Amino acid sequence: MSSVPRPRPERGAERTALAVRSVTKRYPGVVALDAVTVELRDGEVLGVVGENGAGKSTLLDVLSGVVAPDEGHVELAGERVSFASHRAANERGVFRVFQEQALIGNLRVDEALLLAHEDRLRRGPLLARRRMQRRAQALLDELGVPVDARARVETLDLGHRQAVEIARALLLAELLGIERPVVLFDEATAALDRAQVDAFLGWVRALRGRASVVLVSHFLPEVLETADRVVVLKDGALVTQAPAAELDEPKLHALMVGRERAADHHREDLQRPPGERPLLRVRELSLPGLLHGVSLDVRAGEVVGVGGLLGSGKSELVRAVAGAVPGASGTVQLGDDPPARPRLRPLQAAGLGFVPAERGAEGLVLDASLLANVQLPSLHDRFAPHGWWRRGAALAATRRWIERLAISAPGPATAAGTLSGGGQQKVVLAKQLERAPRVLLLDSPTRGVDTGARESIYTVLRELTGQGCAVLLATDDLAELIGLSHRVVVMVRGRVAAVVEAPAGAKPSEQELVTLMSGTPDAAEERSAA
Amino acid sequence: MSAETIERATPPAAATRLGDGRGRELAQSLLAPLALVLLVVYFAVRSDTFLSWGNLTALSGQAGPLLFVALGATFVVLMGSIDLSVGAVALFSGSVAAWLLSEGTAGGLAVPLAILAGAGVGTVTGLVVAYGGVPSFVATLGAMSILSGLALKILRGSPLPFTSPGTSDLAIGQVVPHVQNAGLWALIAWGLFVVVGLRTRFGLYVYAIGGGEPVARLSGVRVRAVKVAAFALSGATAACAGVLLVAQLGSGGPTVGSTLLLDSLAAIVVAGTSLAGGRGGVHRTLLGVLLISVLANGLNQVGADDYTQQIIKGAVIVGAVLLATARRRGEVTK
Repeated sequence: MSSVPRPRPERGAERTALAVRSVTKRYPGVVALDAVTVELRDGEVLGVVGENGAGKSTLLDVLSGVVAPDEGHVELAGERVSFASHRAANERGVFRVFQEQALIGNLRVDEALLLAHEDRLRRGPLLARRRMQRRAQALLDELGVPVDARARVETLDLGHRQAVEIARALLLAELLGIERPVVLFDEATAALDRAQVDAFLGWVRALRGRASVVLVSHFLPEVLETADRVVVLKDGALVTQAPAAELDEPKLHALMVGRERAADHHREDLQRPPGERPLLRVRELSLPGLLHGVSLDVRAGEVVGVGGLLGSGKSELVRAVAGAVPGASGTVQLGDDPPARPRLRPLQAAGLGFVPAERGAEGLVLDASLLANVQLPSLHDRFAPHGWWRRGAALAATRRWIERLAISAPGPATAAGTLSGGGQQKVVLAKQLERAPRVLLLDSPTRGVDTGARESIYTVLRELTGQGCAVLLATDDLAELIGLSHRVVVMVRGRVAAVVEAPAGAKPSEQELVTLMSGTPDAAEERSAA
Repeated sequence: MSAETIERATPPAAATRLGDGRGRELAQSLLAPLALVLLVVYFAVRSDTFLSWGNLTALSGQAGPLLFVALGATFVVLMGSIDLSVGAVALFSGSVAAWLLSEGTAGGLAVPLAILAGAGVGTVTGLVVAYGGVPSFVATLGAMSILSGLALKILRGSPLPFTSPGTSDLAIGQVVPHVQNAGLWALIAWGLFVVVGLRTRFGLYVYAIGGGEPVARLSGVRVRAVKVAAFALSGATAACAGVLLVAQLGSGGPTVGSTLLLDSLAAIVVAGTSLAGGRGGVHRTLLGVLLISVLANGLNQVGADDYTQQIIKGAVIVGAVLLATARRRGEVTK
């Protein structure tokens, strides 16, 4: 792939298409962007990399105008702008392609391409269907996207939908008379498989010169291959920007991570060898289209981390083990209980705790008090066993957890929704810990959680495993995955691609895991040979 | 370079254009016509009068108002909303028409005014839904109660007869032999609505909202305006139905439109429009209306009482949704 010649940016490419200048954006408890200045030059492909929480998405939010910066401003072709809506941004030639795709499944491709702008192709009261179709088809053909403009969007796979999004940007720009649109891609390849990624990057390269592109991606090789320049963000600050030709993966990586080894952070000193006895046995767990025959064991006192790219099935795996998704086949066994198809309620009764990823939607009742949240899973047996509410006991338990987890809240009557992300996550944890689980499943437990709260969560997990609890943890955060786990299960496209031992003092490198996550070694070789 | 890139960009697995995937929908949409044929055959065998000209003409008169109601309501359902007030709007507009006519207003004035009243009511409901953020279920349930009450006040609780030959002719005359005008107007309106649904921007937006409202909003579709328009249309078509019913009877009355809500919903769903929105369309609704009308008429012909009919219609609507859900679940992708 490195043999593909990288065309030099053309003359005039020094002009700035879109820029953020000294932009700062704060969210409660976190500075998402800290005085960041980034320029996108006309016609170039700009890669943006950084760890989770580095500020990549916020940068795109500001660039596309959905979020107003607290300080600083956005410039489009040298002119200060603030867009009132996505449509306003579109009309100025700024398009964003979302990670969760923003196309409507029941529409035809040509309808989706022109949605809200179909008036530009018609004269009378009726839609100019044939013109819409021809125009859309011509552009798709020109881009080399093998899609029928009459097809329903929902019949396309994710890769082709991304291509349709690219085409939408170009088509609308054309109709609006914009010479070079700005297209912002937010982790656009995260859910694609290898062939789709290659095709997609081809389309992005074809955009060079026709559009100015920002490519946000987790996957460093693809950024290095595709981008002209790369911007590295870390903890909301701009670390570096340099031509892609001057960078390589290790360099980028060092810039992204840029911190001392996180051993202390993850309390590696408390990592003890696990027991012999598997407490959780998962066998041949499948979920149509998402998981394919996954088997794994977690022993008493062990943390097994599940890693993988978005769409690898790591989150689905944990949810399926917990019995939180319908349609799973295979068995889950706790301790010496008989193996059975995973079903949430029986598993919970048998001592399994589950911390879901979406704490606002699944983990907590945000409007309800801490007391109400903490007692909820234990009402039937502990706090209201025969229908009578034992309020005193529930209150005491809630107070205990507030103290033990250092939840910063005035008291048990505080509404859960008023807490910070970290505080909320601690409450979700408290709910489960009150059940004294034998096996604890966690899905992205520290997403959007500040450093202080992370550390107390890590400490609690170490204490739990010290008492013999088995922990299965899915996370996007590589440092956490490596630091906390005894073993790391790497998922690729719904299958276990590798299991990596991670004993204290001999942890695998992030690099090693990323390589495993991005596909089988064979596929990676194929790719570099292409 | 760019030519090379484009060639390389074509993934081998998808060298042919991806197909348009409407075959499954076609197969699904064959179910309703099949049911209709079976019903017609069944009733034709069981009753001597079912296929007589007299009964078919009556059938066209019965189907007309129902088709009108279902036209506007289909747009609302396509958006993923629901309009529970259609029966009450028909009652209300019919009562307004009857009152105006009984007071001696000319039919040429009374009819448009009554329809306008229905459209106005629909607009208000639409505003409450779109701008007030009240779920359509609740807003139209409230509207249903309010309008029924208003209508009964207008009628003072009892039938309100009027004499207006022109108005009666509007509904039960036969411009086309053996087809009551009520049915004819409805059929013409259906044709117009099909064009609106499939060939205009408004129609496209209705589908887009049903398929993904947040995405439509992000794309720049004026979602709230489209919603108000759809509810206004639903009010207008329900009013047309009410006026036709009153004109057929020569009298307003408290029971006008009492079966329209259930029947129209059944017709829409049976024809394959999804209650979740985004799938189906007005073009299909005609078939559903025929099915429900034939069912009601045929049951009358074979001597089934009203109560039996209620039971059967209720079962049909739930059955249709069950069937649609089962099909969706059977899809491999999605």
